Amino acid sequence: MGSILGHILNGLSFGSVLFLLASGLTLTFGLMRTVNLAHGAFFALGGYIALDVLRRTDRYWFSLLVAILAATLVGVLFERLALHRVLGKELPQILITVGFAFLIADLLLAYYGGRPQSPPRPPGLDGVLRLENFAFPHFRLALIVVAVVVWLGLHLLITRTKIGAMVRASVDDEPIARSVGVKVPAIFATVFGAGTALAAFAGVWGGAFTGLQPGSEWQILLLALVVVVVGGLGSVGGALIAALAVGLLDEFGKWLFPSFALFTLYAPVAVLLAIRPQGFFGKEELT
Amino acid sequence: MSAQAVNTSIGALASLALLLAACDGAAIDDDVDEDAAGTVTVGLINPLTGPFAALGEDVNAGFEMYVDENDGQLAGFDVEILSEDTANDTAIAIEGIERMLDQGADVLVGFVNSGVTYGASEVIREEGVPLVITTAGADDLTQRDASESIFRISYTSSQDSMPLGDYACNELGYETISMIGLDYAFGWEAAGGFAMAYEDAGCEIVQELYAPLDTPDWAPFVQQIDREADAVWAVIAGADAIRFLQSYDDFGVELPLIGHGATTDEQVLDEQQELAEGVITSLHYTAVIDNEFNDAFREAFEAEYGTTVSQYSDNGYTAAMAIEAALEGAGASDRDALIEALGDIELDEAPRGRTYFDEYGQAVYPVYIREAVEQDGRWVNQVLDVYEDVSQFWDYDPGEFMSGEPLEERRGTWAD
Amino acid sequence: MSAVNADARNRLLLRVALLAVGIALVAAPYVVSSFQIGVLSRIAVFALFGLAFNIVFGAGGMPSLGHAAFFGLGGYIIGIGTVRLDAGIITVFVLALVLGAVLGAIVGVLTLRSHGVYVLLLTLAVAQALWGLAFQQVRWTRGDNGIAGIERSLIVPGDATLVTFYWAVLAVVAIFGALVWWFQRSPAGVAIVAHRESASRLAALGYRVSAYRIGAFTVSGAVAAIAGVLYASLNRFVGPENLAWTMSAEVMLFAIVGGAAFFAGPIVGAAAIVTLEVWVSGFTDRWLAVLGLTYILTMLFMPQGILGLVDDRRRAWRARRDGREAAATSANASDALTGSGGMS
Repeated sequence: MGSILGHILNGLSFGSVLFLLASGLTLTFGLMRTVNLAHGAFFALGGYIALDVLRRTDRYWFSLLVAILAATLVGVLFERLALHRVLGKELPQILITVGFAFLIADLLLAYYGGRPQSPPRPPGLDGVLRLENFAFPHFRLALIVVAVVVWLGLHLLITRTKIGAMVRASVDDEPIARSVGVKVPAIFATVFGAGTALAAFAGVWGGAFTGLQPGSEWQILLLALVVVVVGGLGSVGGALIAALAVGLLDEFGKWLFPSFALFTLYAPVAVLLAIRPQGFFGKEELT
Repeated sequence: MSAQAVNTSIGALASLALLLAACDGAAIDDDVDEDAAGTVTVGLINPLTGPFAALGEDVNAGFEMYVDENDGQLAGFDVEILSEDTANDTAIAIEGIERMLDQGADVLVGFVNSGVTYGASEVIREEGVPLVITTAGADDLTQRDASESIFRISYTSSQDSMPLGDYACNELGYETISMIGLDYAFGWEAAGGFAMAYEDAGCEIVQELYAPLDTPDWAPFVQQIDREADAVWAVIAGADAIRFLQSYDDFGVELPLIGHGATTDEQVLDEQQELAEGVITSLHYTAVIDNEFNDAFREAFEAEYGTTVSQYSDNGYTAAMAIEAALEGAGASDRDALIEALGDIELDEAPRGRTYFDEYGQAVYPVYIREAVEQDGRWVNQVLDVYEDVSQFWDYDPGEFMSGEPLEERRGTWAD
Repeated sequence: MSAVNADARNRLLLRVALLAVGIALVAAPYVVSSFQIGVLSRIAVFALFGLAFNIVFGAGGMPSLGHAAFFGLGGYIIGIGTVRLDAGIITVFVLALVLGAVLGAIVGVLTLRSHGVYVLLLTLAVAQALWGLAFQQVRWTRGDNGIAGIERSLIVPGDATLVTFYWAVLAVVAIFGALVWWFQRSPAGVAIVAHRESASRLAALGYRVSAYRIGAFTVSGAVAAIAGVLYASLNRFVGPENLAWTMSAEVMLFAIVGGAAFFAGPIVGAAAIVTLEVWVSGFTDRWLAVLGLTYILTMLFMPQGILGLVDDRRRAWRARRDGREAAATSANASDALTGSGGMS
């Protein structure tokens, strides 16, 4: 019994990490419909900068803040200078974001070297909850809470403020949005910046879980894509449910069929997409 | 390098040159050394991008440092170094090799990924160019698929685990062990080597678990570990090793942990720190081997690159020593002469200790039993014991070793 | 001079140019180094892979990010077939065509209800699942170590040297390239393009839309598998990397950089990207950064790819000569693909 509960909690905490990794992508890809394959590179950028600043100053929260701000700045500049010029054109977006990911990741490798590194866990969350024959780390519990908080924040932002509506209007019909007074460039830069800020945050907190090394940029991107797509583009709640589902599926898959571990992650995703192309909660799209 | 350091080095070099000129009277008037026996062109072929970039960087750095220490010469031959990125991709590696062969490479040094090595080995054999492997571990590269032009200065996947099998059973007194490893050929062979030596010493493997490469969450695997065992043996490398030790600690597994040296090698130990405390592993190198050659190597390397020496930088450094010895033996730098001479070398001044090749081209060397501890504020793998002259076949007869089922195919059979 | 005459002259020019390129490729081994022959062979194989991919992508308007599945399948067919079993080359080619087509049809069926970016993710998931199988089902694939020792002599009649192998690759690529060309001009091929432009209009005309979608994937899968066979015998090796998603991304880059709207786009793209990789990696370890920057600049300054740029220049030049009439018609044609219309 304790073992089943342990597996469930693990699955949920891994799912929470997945949601954190994907939360930025739910904004840039899900909401803005920009095929942002550089998401994982922003994750790595945030993680490495935080580690660097932490080593120089030994102040955890300060380095977290610097990492988020720096990555956001890079993200906003990238959106303004490059991505915005190919608004609504998915193929050029793919190439530009892949190119940007190559560029960032290679510069990080040149500067920080290729040895695997890992941002530390936030101070105060190093302990372990122990009950009789059951142990669970505080950090993993905290991740579950953070995932719910991030979801709530995004959910409120999109449903309770006009930003969500303005972004959707800008994506669907830019000229109309402009004519009713939506400042399209500013909105896009803001939302993309928020997406990169979340990616950078995930790089520090999620990075404490997954670690950082050359290649993380693609590994993280693939996991995040699975979550966003299974949940349904543009649905933050869908992404949360999908992340938890994938986390549990992965946990039990590895427990029950370890020699198919890689297969059990992707095969169900393919089947789901074939049956429900728009994911769990995505809206049916018109061609 | 700061301007001052540059000035100092130029000054030092200039005085050295003057000194030598004064002693010798002749030669040393320009860079192209006229009394050099000739030139040897070395092609480094390692991953410089992608997940294994750190390993490739270290191997190349070690190799280049040895050549630099000898003023750009090995055994009197001027050394020209070429380098290509394998990018962990066979096609790119082959292209790099062909380019370096076009540019006149006499010998190749490198490879991290065994698949890429296998893929490129056809070209290498066909061209008859000697290759010194510096990381790739697949046992059969120097066993069933051995080739007279291919040598390996680094380990076979199982070579460094076998001594620990003996040590764990006879010295540490663990009678039952649960094994956990990465689910690919390196993991299966390393685990196979350990299990074979351990069971032949009279102890018992009770569980065998494998997790895929790049497992983001190790909790599901760690929680399956059989708590009834006396100890856990692990073979997990790179970022996975950090995540594994974190989960091992988080979920309060109290069993003693031992493993293959890659699990706590110097590339990950700086990140693992206290998570690795007390972990006992076996490997043919550790940064704190106590001999004058290793002390000199470690200090020079850390001064030059600012990072800890690792088994990879040692592999690169020792490969350069091996080529030097071969050039000395052959007195020539052509491919056939080098292949011939490489087989006969014997290195007595290598940082890792006495090293030579067996008849299959695989290095025979000491294997160290190490324990991760904190020493003067740094985490190191301190030497507990050493097995000298460890061959890739351990105590077994080569013929019998190779006529059995390959270790990688015995995955999953040890706990029965 | 009349427009008709100019067109006829252009066609003649094009044929002369093609012939010249063909002769140059065949004669190349007499001029270039063995390293460069290796590079040319790789370009040729990737060109065929790109042509296969572009049936689905450029012509069909379906952005697949899973074509490594077919490419890797071909590689494993020759690897397992000839190294572990004892199949002949004819069997390998037939199997690659058949299994490539079957897998293509399956992927086609799976994607029937998706469009745009969902096709991208679905195909990615399928290819990743296959990659996981190849990596972990070691009994057949030898996992990460891959299967080495694939004989080049299988493909070359007679003596297999680097040069004869190169010629054999050129021949196979030319044959299958011609088949793709012919297919795209057949009624089925034309219908696939029509399907991209407007599925509903096609349906109204009585075509079975789903059949053309599945058809595009089937043909594409079969030809991509053949390219995979060639690639594995070029490297004499097949491993999970042949199935990796980066391979799918690379073939998409070939098409986009060359110009996905053009038949020759993927060929030009493969040549340009491989040459760039080889050239840049020759002088810096930071070749990935340079490559990345190049992708960004390419898309910002020539979003239609290299051939798109050439085509624009040519049209502009002709328009200046022939007056404004021609210019008006040309503008919309080249917008068709890279705009939002291409993927939705």
